This record gives sequence, structure tokens and C-alpha cells, in this order.
Amino acid sequence: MTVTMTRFRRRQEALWRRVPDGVIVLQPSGDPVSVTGPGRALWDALAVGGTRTELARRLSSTFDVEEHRAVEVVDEVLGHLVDLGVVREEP
Amino acid sequence: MTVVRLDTLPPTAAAVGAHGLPGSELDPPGEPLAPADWERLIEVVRSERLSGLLAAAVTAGAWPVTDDQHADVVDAHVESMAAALLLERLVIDVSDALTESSIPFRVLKGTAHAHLDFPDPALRPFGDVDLLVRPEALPAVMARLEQLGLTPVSPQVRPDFAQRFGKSLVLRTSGGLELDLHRTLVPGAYGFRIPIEDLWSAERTFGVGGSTLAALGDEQRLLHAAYHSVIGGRARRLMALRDLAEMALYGRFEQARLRELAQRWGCEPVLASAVRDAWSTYRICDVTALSRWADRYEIPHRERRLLALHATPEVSYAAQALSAVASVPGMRSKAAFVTSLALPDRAFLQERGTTRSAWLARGIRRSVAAARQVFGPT
Repeated sequence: MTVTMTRFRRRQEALWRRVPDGVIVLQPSGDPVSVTGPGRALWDALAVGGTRTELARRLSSTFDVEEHRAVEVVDEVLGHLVDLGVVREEP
Repeated sequence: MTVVRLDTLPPTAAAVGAHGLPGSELDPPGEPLAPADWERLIEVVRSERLSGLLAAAVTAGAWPVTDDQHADVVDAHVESMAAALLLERLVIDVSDALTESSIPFRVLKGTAHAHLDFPDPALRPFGDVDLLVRPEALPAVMARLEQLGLTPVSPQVRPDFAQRFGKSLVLRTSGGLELDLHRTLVPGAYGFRIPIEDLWSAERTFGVGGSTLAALGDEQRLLHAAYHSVIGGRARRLMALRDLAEMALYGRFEQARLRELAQRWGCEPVLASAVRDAWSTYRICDVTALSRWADRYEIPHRERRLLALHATPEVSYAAQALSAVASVPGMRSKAAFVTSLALPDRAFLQERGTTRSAWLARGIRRSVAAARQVFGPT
């Protein structure tokens, strides 16, 4: 229950830019990382933030993919972005 | 630094620089460029920092490319954006340090233009950080920045030269990132004409990574773009002209305030030339109050030589320095300026592998040639 209610949002300190196939985000370590494909839409959605379910729903409506598939993408990419330190969890 | 003369650039480079300017009559090619033409263009796009505009044109379907060319555009843009992000991290670290030390500063040029003057900062790559600090604060700033690992690239002519007479000092991190620390906006006579207080009389703030940074006011920023597009050779002139066009067409500046500042800074010829150049380079058909003024403005005869001295790449640094002497305020300062240039510090000479006598002998030869450029027939 706690997990599903956790909200995720871009860190305000995150530095990033749009590029043709996605976005480039600078990790706190100083290494740039490229976020492409559905990850780009997720990055946009993370400006406002939301729970995994809300983010998956937004991704699903943007990319016209089934919601369960969108949940998989969110789980995979979101975890990566949290690990990189550019997205924070809000209880 | 790669210096690219505007008159040697492929015509398609200006079309890249004009992407998104609604008043421009420059059109992209109708089909993908031939390999040789593309190679030349992508080289110029990288050196002139036009990758953001080309990427936007390609993404919008306005610039036809092959698959390989598309990959070149993505590579060039990703590379330039990664560099811009590292520089933004640097500017935030420097901002935190200076703010902690209660030292005011203004962010100049690329970083400020990207966030304030373009609809998307990705359209405006930049290759270094430029900061303006008060002249009297320069020693304290340098000491503070040294703690962050930023050290001068080369010794000054004299230890206080940058503080009294210079335009800027170049500092570098161990990772190779460059930060230009400015006392004023432009070298030589035009720089001495700018009342320092005018640079601090207004500001426009912008947010980067959760930090709020201050740039020059709108009018001062536009004048800085004008200087940059006219003075100091031809490197990255297409981007400087685009900065100017962007601000002149969409900026929030007040025309009366801009003209007043340009008059007080003695840079109306620079402003008029820059606006004319931007309009002609990008074939902008829209007429604005500023472009109309620039078209009608007649550069006074006495100013034409000064403008030519600063706008022509072939003119020597010695000629520019000689022309600046008249604008250095006060006789003592004039003497100190000339003395500094004629008799630099030992560290400065050693770094250049020369001696004081050799420097003086070369200086005299160059001064004679410079005098011909400054005082000779126009």
C-alpha cells in the first residue's frame, strides 16, 4: 500500500536538455545519461510527478500502449532514474 | 579556437542559423545535401554551435536528411548538450560559492541567452561559462574560485591588469571546463567606454537546476550580443547574430532605454552594424523600430575607423590596444596601461618563452605597424 502511494518527481536540481530522440540528464556524479523512447514521456510526466499508477496512466495515454505494459515501463525506467539520483520519492 | 570567417561559411549554415525565425526568407534545402556539402555543414554546425537549431529543424521535418545525416545531427547535438549541462553544473557551484561569500555576479552570454532569450535552452549550446564581477571584487573572486579548482589559464600581463584594464580572465577546471571572469563586456576602447555601474543597474533572473541566477538586464544583454557579433573576429558569429535577432524580434527590451545606453556607451555604431548584419545574414524581412533605426543610422566618420579596428580579424591586438589608450580614463591610468603592455611581468614573459628586451623590441615593431592601422588613411 505504501509503495503504490509513493509519489515520484523530478529533482529540482536535475539538469537536463531535450535532444531529438529523448532527453539528456546529468547525473549528480557529473555523467550525462540519455533517456529515450517512452522514458522521454515519463521524464515529461515527472515534472508534475505522481504515483506509479498515475505515471503509467499518463504514459499509456501519451503512447497508446496498454496500461499494464506502461506499468512495466514505469517500473523499469523509474527505478533507474531514482538510482541515478535525478528523481526523488515523496511519501 | 577554430575561427570560421562568415564569408567562407556554406550558405546552408545561415539557413540553419535562421531556423525558427519567422521573418527570415532563408529556406532549407529541398532535399538531403550531397555528402561533401553535408560534411562541410556539420563541421560548421559544430564549430558555430548551431546543433540545437539544426536538430530542431530536422526534428520538425523542415530540414531533409538521410539516416546517416540524422545520426550526425543527433551525435553533434547530444555532445553539445552534454557539455552545456556540465557547464551549468559548474555555474551553479560557482554561484553557490560566490553567494556564500556575498559577492555579486551576473551570468553572461551563452548560459544566459539559452535560458532567457530562446524558447528552449536546447536551441542554444555554449562552450564555456561567462561571469561578470565587479572589478574591485576580482581578487576575492579568483581566490574563492581557486578553492573550487578553477585556476587562470595563463598569467596576467601584470597582477592587477584584469582588474584595471582587461575585459576578462580565463580560468579552467582540472577537467578542462572554462570560465571567463569578466570585468567588462568587450576589450579595448569600447570596453573602457562602458560605465561599469550601467552593467549592474538592471538584472534579469532565470532558474537552472533549482538555483536562481542573475543575468544582465534586457538592454545590456542585447548590447552585449551586438558587441559579440561585430567585435573580436568571426568565430561563432552566426550564433551571436542569432542571439541578437532573437532578442531584437522577441525580446523584452525598451527601445528608448536601449538607445540611451548605446549612446552613453559610445556603441551606437556597433549596435547599428550588428542589427544590419543580423537582418542581412538571416534575410529577415520583418521591419522593427530597431531595424529601421539601424538602417537609417549613419556611422560618424571618426567612429568608422574604430569600428573597423575592432571588427576586422586582420587588425592586430597592438592596434586595438593603441586605439584604446585614448579611452582609458585619466593620465595616470593611461600611463599604467601602456607600461603594463610594454613591460609585462616576468611570469607572463616566461609563459610565452620570451624576454623583456625581446618583448620590447617586438612591441616597438608592432606599434609602428599598429600606428599605421590606427592613424593611417581609412
